Amino acid sequence: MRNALVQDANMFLSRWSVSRKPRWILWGRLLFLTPGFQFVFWLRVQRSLAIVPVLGPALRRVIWYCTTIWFSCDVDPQVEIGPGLYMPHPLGIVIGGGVRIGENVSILQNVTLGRVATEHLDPTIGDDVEIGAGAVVLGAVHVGSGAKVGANSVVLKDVPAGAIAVGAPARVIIRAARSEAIVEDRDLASVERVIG
Amino acid sequence: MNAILIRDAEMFLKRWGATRKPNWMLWLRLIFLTPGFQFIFWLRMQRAASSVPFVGPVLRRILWYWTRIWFSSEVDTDARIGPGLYMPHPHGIIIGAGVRIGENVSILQRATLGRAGDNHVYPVIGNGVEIGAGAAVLGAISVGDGAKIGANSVVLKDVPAGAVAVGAPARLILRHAGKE
Repeated sequence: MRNALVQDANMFLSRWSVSRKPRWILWGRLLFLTPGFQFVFWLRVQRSLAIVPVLGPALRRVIWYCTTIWFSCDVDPQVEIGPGLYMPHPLGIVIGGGVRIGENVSILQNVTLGRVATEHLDPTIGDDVEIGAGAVVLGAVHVGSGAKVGANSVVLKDVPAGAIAVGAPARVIIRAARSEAIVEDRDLASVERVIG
Repeated sequence: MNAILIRDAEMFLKRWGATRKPNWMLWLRLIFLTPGFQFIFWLRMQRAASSVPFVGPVLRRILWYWTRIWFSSEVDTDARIGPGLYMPHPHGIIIGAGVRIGENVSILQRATLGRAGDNHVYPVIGNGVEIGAGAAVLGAISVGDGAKIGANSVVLKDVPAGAVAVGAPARLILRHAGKE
């Protein structure tokens, strides 16, 4: 848990343009005055409580409840999240129980990752993925490493590594070396507006 | 700060259909029973706190933290907001550090004003703009005076004065041309 938290902290410090290692004053600011880091911290605590015998599950549930109310975010304690999670604005984020999240992932406010109503299949998120404000990723989809999901988009299909998904339902834009190939050519003009 | 808060209060009273000047009863209702006005009040207090000598920056940061938790909305202390701000439902609103907002602007719940990606450039919002619920306005763009941004739209390009932007990514509808 300690290593994961240090990597989480480094994600925040890199966005603050702080190049040096976290000193005590930066740790103080992260732990007491940065809601995003506090939320990630309590997620890691919930995770590590699972291995405590007897009292662990009950304590985890209580911490989960308080964290959910305090930050208006509902992240299931079963979610597997790699180190280096970056949630700058923990508001309205909902992540379902079966979701798997890789390393160095950014998740912005009002994001939902979960299953489609009746199926018990949840998305998996690769490494270095950025999920924009208000985006919804539903069902047994895989978001490849380095992909970006645009604000307010609804992703229902796989997103390849390095691609961008935008719109509702999301269109996938592959970022090739120079030109952009449109996989699902539903509205070429609006896609060009986004990437132009 | 007093003059700014009165302008903010007048925006609320106008929506309530109260034509008279705010009397003590309306002020009590605004300050104790109107989350939107309370949130704006604490945003203005954060600005005022920064002028306190020595403890100002720390005080501002503590006020910011508790406002953030209480209202579930995050407005960076460096954002510049003109008088007459109207936020009827302060929930899930995120406004980034470099954002500039004009006078008499309405911002609804879950709206995001911020940067796109890693470059530190933020949108500039003109006077009398209305931003709908869940809208995202991202990057180095300007939204002209009197423009409207539809609910859940994603605005990535400039919006001219008086235009309406809807959809994700947003299309522009120029109201003065008479057609789309």
